[in-house]
Amino acid sequence: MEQVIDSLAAGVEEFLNRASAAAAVFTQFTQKQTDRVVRAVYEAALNHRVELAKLAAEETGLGRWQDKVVKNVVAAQFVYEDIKDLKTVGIIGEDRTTGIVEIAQPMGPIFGIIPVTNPTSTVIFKTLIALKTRNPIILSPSPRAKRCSAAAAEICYRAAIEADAPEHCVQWISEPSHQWTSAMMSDKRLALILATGGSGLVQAAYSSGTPAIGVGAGNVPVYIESSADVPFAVEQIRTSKLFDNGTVCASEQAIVVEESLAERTAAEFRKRNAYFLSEAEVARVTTIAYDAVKGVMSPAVVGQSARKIAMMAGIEAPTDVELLIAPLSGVGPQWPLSGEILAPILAWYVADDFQKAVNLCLDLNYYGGTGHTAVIYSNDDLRIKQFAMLMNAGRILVNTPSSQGAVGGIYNTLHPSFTLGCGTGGRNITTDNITAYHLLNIQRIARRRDNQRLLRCDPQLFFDESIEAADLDAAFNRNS
Amino acid sequence: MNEPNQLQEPLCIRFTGCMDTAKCGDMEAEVLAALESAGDRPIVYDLGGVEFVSSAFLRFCVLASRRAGPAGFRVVNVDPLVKRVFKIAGLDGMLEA
Repeated sequence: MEQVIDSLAAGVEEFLNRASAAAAVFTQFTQKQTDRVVRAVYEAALNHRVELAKLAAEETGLGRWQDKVVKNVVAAQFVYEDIKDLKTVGIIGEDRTTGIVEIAQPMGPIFGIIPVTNPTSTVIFKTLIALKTRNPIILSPSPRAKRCSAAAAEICYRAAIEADAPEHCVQWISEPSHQWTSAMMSDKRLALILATGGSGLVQAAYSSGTPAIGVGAGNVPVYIESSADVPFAVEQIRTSKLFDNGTVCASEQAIVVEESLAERTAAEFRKRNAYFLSEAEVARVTTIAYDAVKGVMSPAVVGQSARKIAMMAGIEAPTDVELLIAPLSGVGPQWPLSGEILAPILAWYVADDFQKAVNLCLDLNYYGGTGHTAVIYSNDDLRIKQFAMLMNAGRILVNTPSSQGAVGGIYNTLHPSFTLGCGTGGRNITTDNITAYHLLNIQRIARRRDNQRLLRCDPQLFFDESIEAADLDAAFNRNS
Repeated sequence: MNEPNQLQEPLCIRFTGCMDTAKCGDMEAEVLAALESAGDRPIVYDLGGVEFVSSAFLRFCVLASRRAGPAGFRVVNVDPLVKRVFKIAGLDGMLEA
């Protein structure tokens, strides 16, 4: 045991020494040099998009390789397009009126945790945004995806070095483990942890003492409001939920449809190879999709096809089944399928009206997915805004597939990202889609610009406690 | 590790320009030979005129420090941009006070 600890400590030391040197060298890079590195990495990642996708699907056994290609394209091309013109070096803003000059400084070595569900796309994404901001990155793959993540990291790194990036600007842990992650996260030379993973991992990151940007779990409700275009809505939901077999944390988890549209919506789902489970079948799917001991979704179903799940549950669904829909009568521990299940399983609720529907969405929103994403299909702008203001979600997507929509850049103008902040609802620091700007320390030169109202005001007024706030306000704001 | 003889004239190696990976690669043999020839003399790297240092150059510094010992090795005439590199890399102990 002592030997293992010694080698772990030595390994951590080496990683951080190299990262510190890389961070130091990076500080000298101009915008042009930096952008040359980023472009090279983007091109290399894009060139290897299919190979990496197949490797990811094969190694993890999750999802579909074709959808992982799409994820790699988003992570490489869409992210690159989003960040390529950003000013991330030196003076990035100057306002002569306010006298404020903004300067972009790198943060330092970043520890990037990579989830098993997006093992190559998250590597590409985090590497691009780290290098764009002159931060070296140490990648920590999931043990279940260490080969494909390492392959992606190596492709990015080789390309970066070819473009004269600092040595060791990209490193990765080839044999990841909890011990490695713990040891690395609390090292004082680390500037930031980008923690994309489960709640335990995110909590560990926050507890490490190193600044961290984490994510939250999703339990995305989809509200089909009375003005929705039903066939369109169903088609979008299907597209999203089947994407990579539902492994995106932002994928839909529950449909809440108004009574007036319920029958039509169900018919549209059935037309598209969705199978509505009976009460007994819901119980059977629950048994294999939910780990009652740990109180979370069962890994056995994550990223599996509906057909496979049906077989695992002993259900005689049609052979072409693509979605399993579980009508439920409540939200909470009594109805495990009302929680997040990263597979082609959707909970189904019918609500009498807007008020009841939004109440149900609130229950879902606050049952494990607070801060993440909510979706509404509607053509009523007022209802959209009312819905949005009630949800605790960083992203409220309108008439959009959730998996792709939350990631951004495809169906909307959100920043494309594979790290989606969930705000304090999800115990994160931001609701943003994390992008390059989150990896900068912005300094401000503040030139002297005296506060004229303060100068014209008699300062003695502040020390006279008989002077009321209203009179102080008037004196402060006098315009003569 | 040699104990430097502080009474001896230090070996001074002067670097200029952009000490990037390629340039360091080209001059590596020369630098190593110079360090070898130092014997037990202190070593000084003069960085007047150096505008960029790569990881490869930092390795030259580490080699010199190992050879002459921390007390026997100094880096002098450092531009602030380069000084910051040493600080962030945790090598500012090598810099002349």
